[in-house]
Amino acid sequence: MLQCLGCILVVFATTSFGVSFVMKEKFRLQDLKEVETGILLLQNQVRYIGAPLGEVMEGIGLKLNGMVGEIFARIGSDLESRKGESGSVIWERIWMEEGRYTYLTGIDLDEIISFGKTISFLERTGQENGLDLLLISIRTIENDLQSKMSKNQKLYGSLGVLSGLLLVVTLL
Amino acid sequence: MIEFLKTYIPNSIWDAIERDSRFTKDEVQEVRLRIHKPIAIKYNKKQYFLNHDDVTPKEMSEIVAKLSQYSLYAFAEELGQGYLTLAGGHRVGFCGKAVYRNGQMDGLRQISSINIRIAKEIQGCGTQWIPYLFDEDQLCHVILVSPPACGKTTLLRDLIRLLSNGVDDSGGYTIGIVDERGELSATEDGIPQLDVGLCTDVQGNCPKPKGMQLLLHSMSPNIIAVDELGKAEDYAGAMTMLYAGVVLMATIHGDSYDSILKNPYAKSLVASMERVRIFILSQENSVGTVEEIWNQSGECIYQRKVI
Repeated sequence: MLQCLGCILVVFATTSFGVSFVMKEKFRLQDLKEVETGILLLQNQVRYIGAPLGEVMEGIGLKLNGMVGEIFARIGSDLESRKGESGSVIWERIWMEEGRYTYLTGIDLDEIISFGKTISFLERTGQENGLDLLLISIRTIENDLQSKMSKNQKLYGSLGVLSGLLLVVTLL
Repeated sequence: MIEFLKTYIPNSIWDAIERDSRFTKDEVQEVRLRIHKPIAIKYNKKQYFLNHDDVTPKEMSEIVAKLSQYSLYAFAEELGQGYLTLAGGHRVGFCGKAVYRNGQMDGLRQISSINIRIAKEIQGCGTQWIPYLFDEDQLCHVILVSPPACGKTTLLRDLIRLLSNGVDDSGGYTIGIVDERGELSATEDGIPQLDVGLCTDVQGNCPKPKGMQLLLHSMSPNIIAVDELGKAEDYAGAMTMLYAGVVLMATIHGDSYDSILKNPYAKSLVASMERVRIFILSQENSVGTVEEIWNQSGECIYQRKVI
């Protein structure tokens, strides 16, 4: 009885481990989608209303979910209170400080942070073009991630179960 | 009064301003920053150089970024006109390299100098002049004339406030302000930050001719006030108000009554006014000194006594 319980626990643990890899990618995709939404909203605000970045970011932060929303809101707040030499400095600082609390990887953050180098000092068209480029990068990452996920979902799930069974067999 | 500057300028420059004991912070009129030049403070008609290193390009870039809220694209139109207005009505002038698009100036790049003009609200500065605004109990049109930085806008604002709140026991006049640059009322989120009276409506960020038409058609004003008539269209718009029976209050750049007569637009406007009071201001005694007041007949009805 105890052995049976132990086997179930082992298989459950290894399966969960496998599933967590998949979930991590899923959450990463969710965060990327939030960033994409935020950038789209920012692009619309810049294109049609032309409001200053601080004002726009705070509003966008309220519309987004999770940590990404909080990051946008914080950037907006720091821009409004002018807590940096330039918009790029504020953008980079906050993404580096808070980005680790999201599921975004180093590659994702690099793309987002490099956009910050063009933030604030370009005229409207330049700003929109910069946002377009960032959107293209994010969407490319999302597409790659989505195709990987559909393959990996089954793979990690199966690997989890099989490694659990292997452990059980080995231990028994 | 100048604490707001702390948000826009590097800490080292702010510390230098605070440490300087040659001038009273509340009386500072202008702060001028030029790349590779010392920082100049205008106070009481004199200019002082701060005890600070020359402004570096990096500092200028930081100041411009903060003044434009890190969003140069959002202020392209204002920069194209060479200035923007901060919360509180303070005007910042820029000099740099003009950018042209389709033959029109589209903006400024490589900004090399900035002039921050500190706005001041002096409530009560217009009280002694209210009686001069009336001719046989009829309110006259009012034109305030002076060179730059002599207090035209400050005096106009106070006259608006006094008339809007009501003189004697009568209720206030309904006043519409066309605040194209936000200096008269310093609106933030649509709410005037400076006191322009209880019965005043503000049309902000709008060209003067259009703003005057909008106010006339929608707000039924007794008085329409505008700051700095300059372009031909501004004067044409002002003329339309005269035909509509609205009292006009405006400021014009000039240094004397003769300068108004030499300006063909101003001369034509004044000639069309049945009753007018033309105030000539200077900063001889202090900023906002009324030197003379002229009426529609070309008579000087007030002249400052020089002791």
